[in-house]
Amino acid sequence: MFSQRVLSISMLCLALGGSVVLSGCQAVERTATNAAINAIERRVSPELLKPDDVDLMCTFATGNAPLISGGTRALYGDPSYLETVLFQTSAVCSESKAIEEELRGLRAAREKRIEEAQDARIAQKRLLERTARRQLLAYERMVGRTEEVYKVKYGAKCPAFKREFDELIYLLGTISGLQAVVNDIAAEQSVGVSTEIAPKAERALRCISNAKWWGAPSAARAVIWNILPGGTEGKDVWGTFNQSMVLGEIQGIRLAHTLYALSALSIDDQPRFRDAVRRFANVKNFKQNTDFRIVDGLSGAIMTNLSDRYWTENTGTRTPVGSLGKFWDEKSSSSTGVNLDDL
Amino acid sequence: MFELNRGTRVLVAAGVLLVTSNMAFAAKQKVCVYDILGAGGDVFNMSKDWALDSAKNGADIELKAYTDERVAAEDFKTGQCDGVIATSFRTRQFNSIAGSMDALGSSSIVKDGKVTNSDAYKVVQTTIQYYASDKGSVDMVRDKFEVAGIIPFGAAFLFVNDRGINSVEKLSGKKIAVFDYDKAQSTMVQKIGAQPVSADITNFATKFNNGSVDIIAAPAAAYKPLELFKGLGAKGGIVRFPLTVLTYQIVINKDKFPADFGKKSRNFWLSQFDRALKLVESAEKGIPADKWVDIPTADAVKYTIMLRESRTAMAQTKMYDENTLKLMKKVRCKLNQADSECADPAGL
Repeated sequence: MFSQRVLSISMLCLALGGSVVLSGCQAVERTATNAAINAIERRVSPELLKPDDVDLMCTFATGNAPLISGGTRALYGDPSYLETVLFQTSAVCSESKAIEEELRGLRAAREKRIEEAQDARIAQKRLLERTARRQLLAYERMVGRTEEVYKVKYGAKCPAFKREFDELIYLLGTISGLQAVVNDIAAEQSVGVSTEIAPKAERALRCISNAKWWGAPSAARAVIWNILPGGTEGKDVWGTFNQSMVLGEIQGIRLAHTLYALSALSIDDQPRFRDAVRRFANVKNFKQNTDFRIVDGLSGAIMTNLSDRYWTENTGTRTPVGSLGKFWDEKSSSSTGVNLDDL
Repeated sequence: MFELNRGTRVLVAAGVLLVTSNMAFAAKQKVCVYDILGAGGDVFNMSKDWALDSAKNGADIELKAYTDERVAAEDFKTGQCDGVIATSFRTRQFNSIAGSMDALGSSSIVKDGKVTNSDAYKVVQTTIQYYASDKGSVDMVRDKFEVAGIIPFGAAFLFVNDRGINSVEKLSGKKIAVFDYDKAQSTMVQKIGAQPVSADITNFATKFNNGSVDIIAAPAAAYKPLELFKGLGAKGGIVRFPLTVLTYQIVINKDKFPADFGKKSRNFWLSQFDRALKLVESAEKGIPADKWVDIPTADAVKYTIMLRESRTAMAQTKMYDENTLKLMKKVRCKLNQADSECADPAGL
């Protein structure tokens, strides 16, 4: 009832226009728009998180972010949390294109077609710049809204979350910030993402339950421990990844596995990277979390990208179909128990 | 059994040699890259571009990321890597000429009463250009080791927890973090009457932030990720005086690379100077203006003299290479002919 009434007044405001009624209408439109945003966050967003079709979601986000963001802001609403989801999901599209360029470059380098490899590196960097911009926006929108709503400084004090949705955005936005740092470095710091995001994020991630959010908060913190000088002191980095993965496996979201793989790759620890991919691909009786399929889908997409890069570097082709968690230098078939030398 | 005649044996031997030597260059060259952020860092990213460019020069480089510089240098020393990319603190052992570029004050110029970072970077850029030239290239080879490139990663500044520490005299008695593996640092700290406190890259920031030391020297790039504003507090600041310009150096075992690779590689890295400097300047601009402490001209001159005396003394004990200091003095005097040091031919 309230929403309908506000909407009617809002329509009237739009029809009247003019400066006389503008300030009053602004207030009405803001209320109406924020009511709509709140409804989307509470009712629609959970449904959007259920499918695991990453391509569908990132294409939707890329196509609709300008309209949703611009439209709601034009009507004085604050779509910041929705924007975090939209920009982060949209970044998956540009990041996937960047990976394709990277794979093209790796293949060209293997075949000594150096100009093509260099061209692919340039294209990859451009796409990573775009990706980092989107991820930074996702992070900034999350930080801005959280600080405004919960009256706390991000990374200094924990918000007393009122909604589960806000906690989820806090986690995803924080991870987006970390991704923005990494991708901006790969893009020659074209965006200028501040590296202070890393230590802030490390503290911010303590504010949400590791057990509730699939082990992802601690796994993300462990990634930061591994890269900040002195960060590992007194910490059991790999033990933390292990515990986080167990939580993720039980809850049906393998984001911690992906973070473990990223961390292993950053220090060129190939045995651990292989362990991460194998473990991701071979969780016994794994049941995807039906409420957050998209998060597990995103984790799978990133893990496949990492595996593809590893395969291409070493063989020239990406991970064969159905072979995630397997590697080219392993036995191709299981033993039948017959010693072939006896034949 | 048939026997090969002498001519055939020579031909076979020559063939084997040829095949072996081609194999040596066809084989991948493994290069250990130190980057504080590992494979996700700026230096590793630049190294990827270098590896690609090197393929045009007959090399087939495989990069390995290290987050511990000591281990990277050690792996190179023991032959597990054919090249290493690390800071000059660690590469000085392979070529003291290039490794002495980070000598204290060797790039600092007081010009028109001001010490600017841009002048310091010009000194370093000119020095790198010289070492990439035909004339300077000779100094880049020492036995099997060759310096195949140099890039800056920023001037080192003093971060002080009290901006009242704004002169050489006031450094006396203060606790200053020093890296054990760079003897120049502790020698310098002792000379000014301060107290050296042993530290390394993993704990120097923590020691500053928790008040265990009063002063550290660091590049601007460390300010944000290591949250050095905590150590500065409300009273502290960053002294705008480049003590030295830190560099990353690429050192290769030249026997493992094609002939003339080192020179081509030095030219590649020279072409990346502006790219590296852009990152450095971006980090310097990222520090809030109110954190910088400008020092009066008279004190800047005092710092310059003190650093000159120190590096001259250190050159006498072979800690720094005298030839590098002579070259860098020449560069400083080309860029700032009015400096009084230019009238003293014996000075370094």
